[in-house]
This record gives sequence, C-alpha cells and structure tokens, in this order.
Amino acid sequence: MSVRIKSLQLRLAIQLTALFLIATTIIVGVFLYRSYEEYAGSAAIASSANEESFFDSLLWEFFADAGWIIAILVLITIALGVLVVRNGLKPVREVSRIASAIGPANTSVRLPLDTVPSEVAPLVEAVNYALDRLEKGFALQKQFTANAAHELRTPLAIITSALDTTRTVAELDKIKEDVGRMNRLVEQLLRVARLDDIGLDVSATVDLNERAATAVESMAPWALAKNRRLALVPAPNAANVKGNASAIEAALRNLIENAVTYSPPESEVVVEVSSELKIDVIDRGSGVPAGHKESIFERFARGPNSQPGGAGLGLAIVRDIMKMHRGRVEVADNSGGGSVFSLKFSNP
Amino acid sequence: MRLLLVEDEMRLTDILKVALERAGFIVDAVRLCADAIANLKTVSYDAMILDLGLPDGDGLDVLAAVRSKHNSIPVLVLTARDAVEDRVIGLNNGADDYLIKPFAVVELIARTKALLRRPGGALGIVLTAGNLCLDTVGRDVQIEGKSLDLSRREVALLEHLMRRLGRVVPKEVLEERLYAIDEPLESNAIPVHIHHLRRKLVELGADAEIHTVRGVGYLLAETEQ
Repeated sequence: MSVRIKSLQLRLAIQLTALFLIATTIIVGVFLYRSYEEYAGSAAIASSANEESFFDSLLWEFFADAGWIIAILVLITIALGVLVVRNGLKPVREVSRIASAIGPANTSVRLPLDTVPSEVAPLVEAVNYALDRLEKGFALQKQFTANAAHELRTPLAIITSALDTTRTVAELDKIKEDVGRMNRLVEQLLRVARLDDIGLDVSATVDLNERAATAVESMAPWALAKNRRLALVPAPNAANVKGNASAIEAALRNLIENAVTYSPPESEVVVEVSSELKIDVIDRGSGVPAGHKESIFERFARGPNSQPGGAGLGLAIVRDIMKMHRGRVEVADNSGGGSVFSLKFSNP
Repeated sequence: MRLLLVEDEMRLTDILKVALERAGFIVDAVRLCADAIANLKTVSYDAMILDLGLPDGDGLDVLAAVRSKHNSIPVLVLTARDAVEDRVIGLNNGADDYLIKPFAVVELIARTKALLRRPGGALGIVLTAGNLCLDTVGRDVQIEGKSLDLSRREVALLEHLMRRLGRVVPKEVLEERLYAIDEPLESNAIPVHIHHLRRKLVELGADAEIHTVRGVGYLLAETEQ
C-alpha cells in the first residue's frame, strides 16, 4: 500500500524536486555523451577496456567536481518549493482562520471567495452555501423554541394565576402542585431545547464568585421559606473562566435547588467557590448511592431516592451546560453525610 | 394606589386585576401599546405592570416612550419570552424588575409592593413589614404604636432591609450605604449592628425576622403566622 502524503505543500515540493532531478539527470547525460563523442573523435584509442575505464574516470571526475552542487541544488529546490507553495496557499489558511470562528452563536460569517486560488474556490463556495442553509435552520429552530416558549407559558400563566386567586379548597392545593410540576417540566424542556438548538456563546469572562453570590442571593428567600439556610464561601482570589454567565448561574441554581430539596429541615446548604475553578454545592441530604453517581446525570434519570414530581432533567441540563464549557459535573459523598456536587471548569 | 396593567391576554388580565384589587390596588387594564401610552399621558400612576408581547407592538417601546419623557414610574415587566436576553434588554431599557411567566400571583404582588417601597415610590414614606412600621422621614420605628429605641445606624440598616423585604441585601451594599468613604469601617460593624437590631426586634415581639445568608448578606422576612 502506498503512503499518501496529506500535506499539499509537501506533495508539491516533492514533485518539483523530482522534476528537477529528472531534468538534471538528462542534462548531465547529454553533457557526458557529448564529451565522450568529442574525445572519441580526437583520439584514436581503440581498446574497449580502455574506453570503459575512461568513461568511469570521466564520471568519477564529474561527481567529484560537480556532484555536491547537485546535492545543494536539490536542497535549494525543496526549500524554494516549500516557500512558493506556502505563499500560494496563504489565502487558504486565511479562509480556514475565518471558518474556525463560525459557531452556533455566530452563523452569519461567510468565507471570502476573491482571494482563494481558483482550484479551491468551488469548495469554499460549497461551504458558503452549506452555511446559508445551516443559518436558516438555526434561525427556524430558534424561532420555534421562542414561539413554543411563549405558547406554552401563556396558558400556564393563566392557570397558575387563576388557581392562586381562587379561594382555597383542599382539592385545589393538589391541582396547584400538579400545575407547579408542569411549570417546572415546561421550563426544563425549553431549556433542554435551547441548549440542543443553538448551543451557547461561551466566550465571555465569567467571575465564578460573582455568579455564585447572585445565585445564592436569589435563591436564599426560597430556601428560607422551605426552612433551609444557604451559605456562600467565596474563593479568596479571583476565579474567572471563559463561559456563559447566565448558563453557569442556571447550572448552579439547579444544583442548589436539588440540594435544598434533598437536605433535612434546618440544615445549611453551602456553596463553595475555589480558586481551582470549581464550585461545590454541599448538602446534608441522604446522598447518592454508589451505583448512581454517573447515571443521575442522564436525561429523565430517576435515582432510587428521587423525590416524586421531578422530571429528571435538572442534572442533565447541568451536565450539558458543563460540557459546553469543556468542564464537567461530578458528585461525591460529603464526609459528614450528604453529597457534594462539583462544577469543574477547565483553565480558561 | 393606582396601577396600569398592560397585558393582551384577556383571561390573565381578568385574573390579575381581581388579585391586585384584592391586594388593595386600583387597577386600569389596557391591552395595546397605544392605549398604555395614552393612559400614561392623562393619569398619574404609581406603577406599571407591562407585558412585552402586545398586539400592536413591543412592550419595550412603551417603556422607551415613558423613559424618554423622564417619567420615572416604577415598571415591572412580564414576559413569556426566552429568559436570558430579554431580561437584560428589559432592564437596560429602564425596567425596574421583571417576572417570567408563569409566576405566582403572590410574587407579582410582592414585587409590585417592593417597587412602590423604593425611595420616591408611593409606599416609600412609611415602610411596613408585619407589625413593624418605619417612618423614613421622622426616622422613627414602631411596633404596634410603640416606638423602638434604635440608633441612627440601626434605623438606616432596618430601612434598607425593609425596602427590599423578603430579598437578600448584600453586606457590601449595607456597608456602602451606611458608612461614608472617610469613616473607619470595622469588618464586623454590620454584623454587630444586625445582632443588636435582631435582639431588639425579638424582645419587642416584631413579627418580622432578620435572617443571615452567610457569605452574602441579610434578609428581612415576615414571620409566618
């Protein structure tokens, strides 16, 4: 099986060099032949043995005098070849650089056609058409999710408000709970759909201390109403990551919500940020059994201790958000009972 | 107190109107941007509750029109749209708060009252939390008619907590509001004041309580009966 060389640059340079070598060989051959003719014409040596040794010495002399020049020429040809081809492919590299900036959050970029070599132009053109179609698809999906959000939330808002303002009857409380569950499910499904559709712009600088403080601040009243306390232990130094602030906050809020739901009354849920770009959410709940530490992050997963009423989407959303940040979410046992859920970010 | 409710979903309007009226507000409801702007010209409302998606335009346009006339009426935005971006757009355009549909009606009423409790708001002069009353002009705090003996800083502290009743006030915000730049600030100054204030409130039977959110700040909540 022949070895295929992937680099166009190297391939062209090698071909150029081969051509050069063939040309040189022909030139040298012609030169030798003509020298021999000249010699044979002027001298009258007839011995075939002599003739052969003469030819050998001529060849030897040639290589001794000019052979090293050929080696140098070969090297120069390779170097020139690489340079020329490299220069010729510069526009292609430029196009690649532009293409690498295209992402779900940035679909309007098109590759420039006027600078690329004509051989590559059809490829670039085809990529641009593909991008057109993708952009339309993204826009449609986005629009669909936005419409779905509006259409689903509006009737839920009406039902929720209507139930809230109806004088309480025991039966109604159950329906209120059902509607509450429906609200959560719709919110989570919409979030999953959003993450699936459009991806996330994760290019901003996010201060983990600040995000954690905002999340704790906004959820503390809810936790207090459920008779649990929230606490924050910020990192002593700045803990900044490249990411999407509202997604990181959403992930953290999901973890806090779980922690509060699963921890005993009067207990404290601690959110701890560390300078190693990690946020821990520490609870005193019943913990996650050993066999479920991976599977609880699957969509629609229900652990053995799951509270009724959840859809099993919260942790899957957290996992998706962390994946998009090239980080991960993990759960470990809290040494004093309960669990520690960690959001771990890779270095910015 | 008179509110303008701008919402195009008639069912929701009916329900919210009843609930807000039950909470003691007088409510004018309209369903178009144009009507909202016309009403704002003729009536002096204490606050506006504004839905974003309206039949004849975007609620944010109403907001922009209001703010361009230097009208500082508190505005609470309602939205069923996708959370993140809209939130930011709304607040940049001069909304004071937002709620995402669906929401609990008690939350809507609580947020509306919080807006009115801001300095300059209709409820901004005498603040209440449970049986606790704070006169922001007379700097006097009473529980069921009896005045409390509080220091100047304690009153200021309580005022900030009452203005954001039920929500966390970060410790840094309190430090910033209570101490001038050139005043020496001990790191435990706020916790010490909170400690005294908390004790006095308990002693005198206030049915509002100061909770600590360790690492973030403090929160005043009405005690559940």
